[in-house]
Amino acid sequence: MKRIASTETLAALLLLVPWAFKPYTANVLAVYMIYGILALSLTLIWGYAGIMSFGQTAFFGIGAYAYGAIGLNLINRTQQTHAAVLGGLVVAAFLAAVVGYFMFYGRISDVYASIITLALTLVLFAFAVSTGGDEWVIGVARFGGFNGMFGQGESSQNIANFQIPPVTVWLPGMAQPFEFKINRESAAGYFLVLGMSVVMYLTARWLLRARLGRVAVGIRENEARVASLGYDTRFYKFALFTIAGAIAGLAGILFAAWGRFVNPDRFGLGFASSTVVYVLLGGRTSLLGGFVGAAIVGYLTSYLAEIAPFGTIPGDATPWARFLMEAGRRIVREQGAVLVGIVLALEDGVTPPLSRLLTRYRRWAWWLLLPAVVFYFGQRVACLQADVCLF
Amino acid sequence: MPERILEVASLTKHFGGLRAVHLDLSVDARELRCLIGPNGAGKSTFFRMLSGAMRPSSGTVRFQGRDITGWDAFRIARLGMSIKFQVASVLEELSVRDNLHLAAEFRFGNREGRRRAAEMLEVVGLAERAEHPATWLSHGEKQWLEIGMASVGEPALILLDEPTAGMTAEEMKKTVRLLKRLNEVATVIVVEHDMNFIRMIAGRVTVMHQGEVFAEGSMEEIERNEGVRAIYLGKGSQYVVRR
Repeated sequence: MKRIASTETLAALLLLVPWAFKPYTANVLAVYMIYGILALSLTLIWGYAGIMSFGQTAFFGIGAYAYGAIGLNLINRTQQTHAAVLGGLVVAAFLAAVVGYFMFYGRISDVYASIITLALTLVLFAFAVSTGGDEWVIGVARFGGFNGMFGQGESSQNIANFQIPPVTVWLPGMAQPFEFKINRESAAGYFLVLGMSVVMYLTARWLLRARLGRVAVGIRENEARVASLGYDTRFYKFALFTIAGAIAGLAGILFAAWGRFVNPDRFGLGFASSTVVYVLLGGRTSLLGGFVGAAIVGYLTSYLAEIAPFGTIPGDATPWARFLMEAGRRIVREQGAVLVGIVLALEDGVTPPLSRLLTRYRRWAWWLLLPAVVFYFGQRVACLQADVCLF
Repeated sequence: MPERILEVASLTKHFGGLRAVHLDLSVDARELRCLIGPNGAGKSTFFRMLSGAMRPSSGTVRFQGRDITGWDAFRIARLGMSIKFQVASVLEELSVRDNLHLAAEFRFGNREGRRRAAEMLEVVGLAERAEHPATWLSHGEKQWLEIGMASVGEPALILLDEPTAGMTAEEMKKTVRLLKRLNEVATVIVVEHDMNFIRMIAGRVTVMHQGEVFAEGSMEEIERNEGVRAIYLGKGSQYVVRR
């Protein structure tokens, strides 16, 4: 019996989501995958090269802002955002290259690398927050300070302000531009994000098998040893850091295009540490780990928020309801503790033990898990067709 | 007259007010040189300066006719000098094969490096453990792996810092055979404490004491030397080199 390759199976299942769920689910999964791509970039640099970049969000945010600024200016003139995607990538990679150059060629030790990257993202946060004034504008793209980026109409008071465009393609030979959106009519945006996740995953896997990846792992294990074998470790760290920055930038571009919005929170401490949590939780040494971690945290956050409303518990609630709501609230409050517990119990995160389990019990996975999942998807598709689904 | 591969002139390292190393030394091509001396004689510091892991305070190192003083470790390695550190520092999480492959790859490229790594696995006798992570190896096996990593790139000069530390007598014999084989193509400098090992490899011996060259000669000459005996027995204070 063939081994179930869990990664491929997962990708195939994700491919079916738009037919089995309403656009809301596709939207949510898309943003999990976007955060997953960001976490993947941190996995590359941290899990494999051993350089803890606390501020990987700096490249995510700068990619998002660059895409927004260029995209807002382009969309009304050319009806496409090719240059915005490219620009976002270039800006993120350039920032990573500059920071990486000074960090690694300046022989800064790895502890300082995490402090410097964290400082970078916080500086960018402070900068982005302070861009609320009328003078912070590129063409029609207003930075908007805390409120986030938007495109302005005739004046800043004009009601005709518009949003960051979705990724829009208009290639020669196409009758009209094509927008990658996620709504009732189209799941193109979802497929774009899924496709990019797969491409980035494969790119990372290929990188790690190439010399760059082997040397990176060597650097994690013992940098002085690798240097004494003849490798200029500074260059390898610099190269991998730049590539990771570009991948984080791509995630930022997809994020800005997905939500049609970006604000300074993407540079903030909360998001920066969330990214670290995704990687820790999912597993630092597994390329899939970042995706798994992002999905778990995302799901826990929204699910727990649902069962534990932030308002006060109504006085006339029955004791049972009271108990459940109180428990839910505590879980939300202790979510951090839950994550710390998981990380302490499973040093390598949840993904490696999970895939070991799947491999060990592949017979069960093949005969029970897979049919169950297929049945669930079939039932979902059927109820969507009959339009009796709730979600 | 054989070619000088390594010439060290007044190489000095200060740690604060302490002068840890101050020595002159030259080694001929294809020589097998043993470097001995009591603990704290400065042997490892000397090696670290040669290989670029530590910058000397003053003095010069000429290797294959080029002044490499203060070069980065990776440049010195590319010029053809490799080192096995005192503490076995293999790449623990990588497989034995990948350790050797990484060491061979920068010189020979991916495919040829893989072939050379496979050959070296046979030479150091670790073929059966090729796919194990290096962290599973015993102490002696790690030493062999390191010797393999130091020599798979076909360097002109191999520095071995205590290659037999913690080895059994049988393992040591194997290491001697390995060393002699390496010496057929490369110059080797070995730092050792074990006098049996030094006798077995029978090369020229340099004795270091308090950071300086104290004596030099064949093993018989060194063993007859009163001063060397005294510094090893801890009575060396009257033998401090006059500065």
